Amino acid sequence: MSWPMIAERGGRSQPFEPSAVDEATLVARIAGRDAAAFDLLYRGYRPRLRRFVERVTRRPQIVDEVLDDTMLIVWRKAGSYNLRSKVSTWIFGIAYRRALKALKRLDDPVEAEVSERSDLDAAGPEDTVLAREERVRIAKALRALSAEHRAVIELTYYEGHSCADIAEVMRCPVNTVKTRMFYARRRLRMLLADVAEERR
Amino acid sequence: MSGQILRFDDTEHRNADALLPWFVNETLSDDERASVDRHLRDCARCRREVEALRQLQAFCRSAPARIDATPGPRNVNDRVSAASRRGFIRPWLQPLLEHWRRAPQWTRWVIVAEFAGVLALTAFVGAYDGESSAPYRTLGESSPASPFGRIAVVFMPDITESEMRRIVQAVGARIVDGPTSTDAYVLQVPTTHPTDALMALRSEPAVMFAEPLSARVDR
Repeated sequence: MSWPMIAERGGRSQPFEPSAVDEATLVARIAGRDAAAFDLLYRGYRPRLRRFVERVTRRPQIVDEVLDDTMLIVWRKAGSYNLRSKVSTWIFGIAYRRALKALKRLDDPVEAEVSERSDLDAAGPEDTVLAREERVRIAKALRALSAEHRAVIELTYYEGHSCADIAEVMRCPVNTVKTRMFYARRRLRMLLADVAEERR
Repeated sequence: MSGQILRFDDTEHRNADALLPWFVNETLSDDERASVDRHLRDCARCRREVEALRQLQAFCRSAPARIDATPGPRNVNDRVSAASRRGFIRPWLQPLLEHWRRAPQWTRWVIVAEFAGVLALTAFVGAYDGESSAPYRTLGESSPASPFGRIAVVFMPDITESEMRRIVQAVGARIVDGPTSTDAYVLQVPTTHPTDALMALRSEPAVMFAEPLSARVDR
């Protein structure tokens, strides 16, 4: 996962790759109202959070709002962050709850056609493994999952979180995460079978 | 689910199956991983499932997010400053909003009616002052009157801060006072487009009430 280049005072840039300790230090500095620390954390997390919120909500119109709200909560609540959880778990938890809240507020039952195009246009070494048609099938099936199921999938396979971390993000027991993943997988299997059937 | 007869204990299979997603993303503890490894040796179905999950993982990791078309519409420092300002407003706003939410509906209407009455009176006095003031300035008057008009606004009680910010920014206004005891805010708008601002505010569903406070804003 790449992190953005952060400009130093002399104009030179260097990659920002915070470790867990660095992140906790940044949050402590933010609690002391250090805007530069907030800037660093914000730049580091924005791409990941943006992707996560996009994937969970599938509503491009609310992504920026959820991101703004999430980072402002980080700014305000940095003092209440405790070291028992990882910084990433804490921040993703805030984003997840803000995303669900924003979704509840929306009336539109139809999800926007958000990222099928980008899902399909992705160019990378995986393309040699995944045939284009297979990618279409998976993208279509993922779009049909619920927000909670998409969140479990995204946190597991893109963010690489453990089951316990996901339980913290979602504020639920570990067994609930396993159950959600079980149903997400089952639904995916059914959807993929349906898509395959449609193609015959 | 093929319904085939499994050679191993079904509970063990279910437990291993539940762990497969995190076996694939390599975040299992050593014990859990060893137990799944043991199970996979005997279970062809789980081995196929691992392959399917690896494919899903490859897809998730390769599919990029949409390009961030608005990488920094407002820079971070602005956000922090805005957050700080809101941090100042919040202690005032929260208890008032809480009282508003708890109040019975008829009480809310009474409060809104009273507030409307007060505003109407204020507007009337303001208009009267405007008419009675001399249409000239004396030489001793050092500067012209403020180039801004003021509008009193009451937002819906459940409005989010981001939504409030959007509405205020959209009309080019600034919050110069409030919230008052009736949850009203006073917005300052440039007199180049005061009526447009008033109409725009009234068209927002999240705005309950918008009335000009000065003669510089036409009703």
